[in-house]
Amino acid sequence: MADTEQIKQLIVSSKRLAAADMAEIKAALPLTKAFFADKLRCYVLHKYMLDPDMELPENFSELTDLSLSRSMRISPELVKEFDLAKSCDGASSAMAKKVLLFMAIQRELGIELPAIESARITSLADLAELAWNEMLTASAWEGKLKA
Amino acid sequence: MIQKAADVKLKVLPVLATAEHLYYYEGPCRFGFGEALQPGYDRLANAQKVEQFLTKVKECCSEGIELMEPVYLERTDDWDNHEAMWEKAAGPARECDFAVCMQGIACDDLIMEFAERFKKPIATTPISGFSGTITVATMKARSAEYEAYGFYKWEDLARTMKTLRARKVIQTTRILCITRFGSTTSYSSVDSFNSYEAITSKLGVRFRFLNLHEFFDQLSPAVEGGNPTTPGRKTPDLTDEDLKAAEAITDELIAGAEECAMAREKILPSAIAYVMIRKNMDLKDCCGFTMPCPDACSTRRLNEIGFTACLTHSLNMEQGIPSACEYDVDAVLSQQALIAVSGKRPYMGNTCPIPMENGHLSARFGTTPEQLAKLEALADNENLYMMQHSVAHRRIADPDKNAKYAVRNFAYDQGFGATIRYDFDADAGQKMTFCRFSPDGSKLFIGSGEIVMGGGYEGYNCSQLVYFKVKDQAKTWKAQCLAGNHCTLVYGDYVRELTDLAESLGVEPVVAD
Repeated sequence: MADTEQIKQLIVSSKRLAAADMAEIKAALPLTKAFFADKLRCYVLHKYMLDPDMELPENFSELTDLSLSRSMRISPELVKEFDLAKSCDGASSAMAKKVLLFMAIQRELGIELPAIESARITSLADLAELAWNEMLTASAWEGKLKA
Repeated sequence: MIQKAADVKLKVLPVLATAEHLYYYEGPCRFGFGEALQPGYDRLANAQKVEQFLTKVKECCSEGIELMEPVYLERTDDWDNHEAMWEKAAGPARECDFAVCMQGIACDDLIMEFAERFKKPIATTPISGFSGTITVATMKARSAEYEAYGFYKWEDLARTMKTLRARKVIQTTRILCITRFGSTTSYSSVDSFNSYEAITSKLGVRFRFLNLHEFFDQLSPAVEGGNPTTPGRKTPDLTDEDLKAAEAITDELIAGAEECAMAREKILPSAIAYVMIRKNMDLKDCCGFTMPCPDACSTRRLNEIGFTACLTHSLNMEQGIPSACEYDVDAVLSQQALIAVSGKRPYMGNTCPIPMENGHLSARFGTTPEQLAKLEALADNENLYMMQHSVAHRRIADPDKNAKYAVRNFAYDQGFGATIRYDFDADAGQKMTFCRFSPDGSKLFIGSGEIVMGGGYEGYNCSQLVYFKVKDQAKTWKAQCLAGNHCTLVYGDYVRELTDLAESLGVEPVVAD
């Protein structure tokens, strides 16, 4: 019971913190690339229920597995095992988690991430770079960005 | 051009069939939460699946597998299926040898249509989940001619791609056959393929012919008015450049030999023959070679010119080019099969058991009393076999590095006919695999053994041989009797790979073990 309550609290606080990160991105004027990359990193880690101040892997897939392991309360190794049991459309839970994150970023930033490139992201820095490049041509960000 | 087995690539085309939902809805074929049901989700999710699939397929590719740019078969829940998509797929589909498919629910029909349209072997992979059996079973039910594989393990995909590459090697083999009489058999290898038409039809192998006397005429510089056998015709006769190449080969052979029992001028005619055979192979786009022994010998022209084809076979084989004695095209193709599955360099020869009779090992052609006594002293000598011919070479043990060797003559009396001698003694304990197609090409005899010792390193003529032990001499002999005499070997255990290759060619594997 205590465990369930703890998870609930973690979810709520992570959502709140992620929302705050995104609000900072949107409020910054001009929004610099460095600030954006830093805040987007915090946003992703909070969405993933991970503490940005912790020592974390750089690799995006490893971060995704770690996040899944937290939410499922199993080891990251078991997440890989678990992911072998895929859905009938062939998508794994790690894939779904990544895509849901991308969907949220697209919605929040008013951009459309290129599909193939999004599947090749290997780090949060790659993700920030990809999103930034899309923001450069997005009408919602016109005149607000500074390299 | 001579396209070696090592140059043959299996072109693998990833075929990516994906579906995208255009609306929010949930039901028996679609379920999830929140944004996973929103338009746009599938676009990103499909990209993830594609990336994972391509990574896995890439991991399965070994040497000789060329992964092509993927073809996308995309549809939405409007169930669209536009001709433009197929027109785009047609080019790569025609070019590929093998299509490895990614599909999920509601995309199986696209993969089946791909197979029906382009008639290429297709495979489903573990990533396709239940679609594997759906697609493969349906394809096989529609026509036995469809080649469809359903892999539930990635390692099976990797293994099959290797097999299909080896099959392509066989199917693209072109053999130069220098012939004197009939083009099918020579007087010493009647166990060779008995119908070239049947072999071409079944295995895709092609045979290109050259008249023996026309070839002999080419071994000297062109004469005014053309060669005696082809007056007035331009023929690829020996040039200064050819002669220089032959001289360089001769000098290199002498310089590198641990012992050379031949004078330079006695080696040179064999080297010239090699250069001219390779020239003809190149002109006729052949990657394999054979010519007769007795039929050629009795013309007396080999004696007149002073060469044998032994050196040609040795130099070809050590470069990964199948090349067999005695007009044995069957042995050429058997070598090619071994090269294709192993990447190694074959040896070939008369192959037979050394039986234990009345407490002694019986002599066979090439054996010496000293060798038999040495074998009799072994604890385990009940299942001995031997392979014997003077076409050993320097790269039997290591395809990239020359071993020590000697050069000795084939003809005792006149001292011509360069042969390379290899010391098989050095490889005692080495596992090896040997094989031979049956004369009708319907079976592939596959044996395996372990080298015991060599013979004839210090000898002349056709006395070079290797002794090896098999698991069961009688069973091996019985199986070999379905194939014939000249077997060909490579080092290492390739029984499984050869079995896979035979099955993929529609040939029955006859495994001695």
